[in-house]
Amino acid sequence: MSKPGINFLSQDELVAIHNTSLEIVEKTCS
Amino acid sequence: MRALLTSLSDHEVDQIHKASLQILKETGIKVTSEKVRKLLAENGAEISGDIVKIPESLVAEALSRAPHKMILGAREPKCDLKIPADEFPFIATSGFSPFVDDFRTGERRYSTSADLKDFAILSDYIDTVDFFWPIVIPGDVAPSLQELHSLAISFENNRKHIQCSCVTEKTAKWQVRLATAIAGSEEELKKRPLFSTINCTVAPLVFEKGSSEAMVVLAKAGIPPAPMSMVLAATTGPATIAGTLALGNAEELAALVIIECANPGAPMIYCAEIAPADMKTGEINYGAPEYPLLCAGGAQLARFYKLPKYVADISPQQTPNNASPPKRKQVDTSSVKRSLAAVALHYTPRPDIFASFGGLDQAMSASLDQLVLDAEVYEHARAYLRRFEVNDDTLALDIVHKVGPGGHFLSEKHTLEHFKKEIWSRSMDDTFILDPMSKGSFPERAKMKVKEVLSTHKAPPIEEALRNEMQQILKDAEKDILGNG
Repeated sequence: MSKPGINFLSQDELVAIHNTSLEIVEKTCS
Repeated sequence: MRALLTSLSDHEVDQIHKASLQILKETGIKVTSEKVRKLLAENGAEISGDIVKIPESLVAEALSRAPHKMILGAREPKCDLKIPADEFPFIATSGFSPFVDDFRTGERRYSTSADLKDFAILSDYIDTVDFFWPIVIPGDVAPSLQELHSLAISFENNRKHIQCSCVTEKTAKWQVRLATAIAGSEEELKKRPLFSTINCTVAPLVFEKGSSEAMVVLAKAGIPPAPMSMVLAATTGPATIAGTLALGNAEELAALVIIECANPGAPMIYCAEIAPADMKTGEINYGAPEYPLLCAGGAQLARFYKLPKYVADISPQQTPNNASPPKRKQVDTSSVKRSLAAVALHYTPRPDIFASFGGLDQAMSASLDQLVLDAEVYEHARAYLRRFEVNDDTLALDIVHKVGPGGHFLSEKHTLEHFKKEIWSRSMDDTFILDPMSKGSFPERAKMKVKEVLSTHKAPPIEEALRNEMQQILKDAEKDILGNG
């Protein structure tokens, strides 16, 4: 069986947060 | 985003589903009711003696008919529960213990109708209790009438949805009669079933006459049965987690087939309460580490079928208390606080409904103060179970840009607008149910709350004409069931 795990973020949420992080790096840190 | 405990991959869910189908097709189930065997035969099952082999097509048909949504109605409509549950599961009391731990004396004794009435009143008062499972047996009533009377006592003293056990066809008929009187008509009862039932299978794979015939009656009346599979790994099921899940799931699917054959489209609640056996005593081991993982697997299977999920049960010993006489000890708030993550873990499989507030010692007993304590602790444990939104506002890109590297967010309006919802800042002193001004340990304060509620609270009364009708139904049922009419 798979290792039990507590999932927190859905795939869509992961992508949304990843994209936001990219934007922060691009806009805020540039 | 929200915490969700899983123990199976999608592929493993499919493997277990297929293993369950094979069990039903090749091993079959034992059905001791001729009436139910006939019903299954008419729908394409293969009968040999009391063994019923169920083809895959019949399971598929049952799954296609079963509703994915339902309302669990309540005597007071504002207490209706819409399934599937949204953010949090709906919570009930534990169920049908033969003993009670008397909070006044500390003694464990057989429970009575008066005890059940007290539990119903207390559960009516506590908002955290969403529906009521008669938590103790009314032991002063004849055994064959206990399930019916427990429903009547619950209806009279609790305005919420009632879930009770039902192990005979006659009991089912009279329970439906009682609920129909309150609902006003059979049609109204079907729209908002005021009660649902627990119908245990006998693992492995036995469907007793009484319980299976009761399921047929209930299905026809639109009452949702929750066929509680209680396969115990290593005794009534294989020692393996995967094998136990497949067996428990097979029992759930078989029950669904019976229900959908009886009344196509009838509601059913998936209720695999499977657990490991305690290998030293043979008892169910709710405290085992495998237990929440089995609950998670069961919840995943229910989700796979899109059936309402009732698969998890908090381990009573997760909430430290002093209500169990053999383990009596004082508990401070810090030890309760330390238990919160463990309590929350049991809810993370995310069932729709969930039972067991107030139960003690694997549901052999129950106590009123434990019910208060469990509800209080659950309110704090909700912190781990909250859903958090992911959207443009919560991703806060504009604020991050505004504050910039090396800045600070504390003075931002965005922080003011969100911190109360997102950052849990309640301490254990900020109680939900216990009187915040009361002194002493949590268990002592729980006892004070019980005394206060029982001396001041009553469920909204049932009007006299209806109460008289219910009394007449109970009298008629007594004659019918006891056979002296």
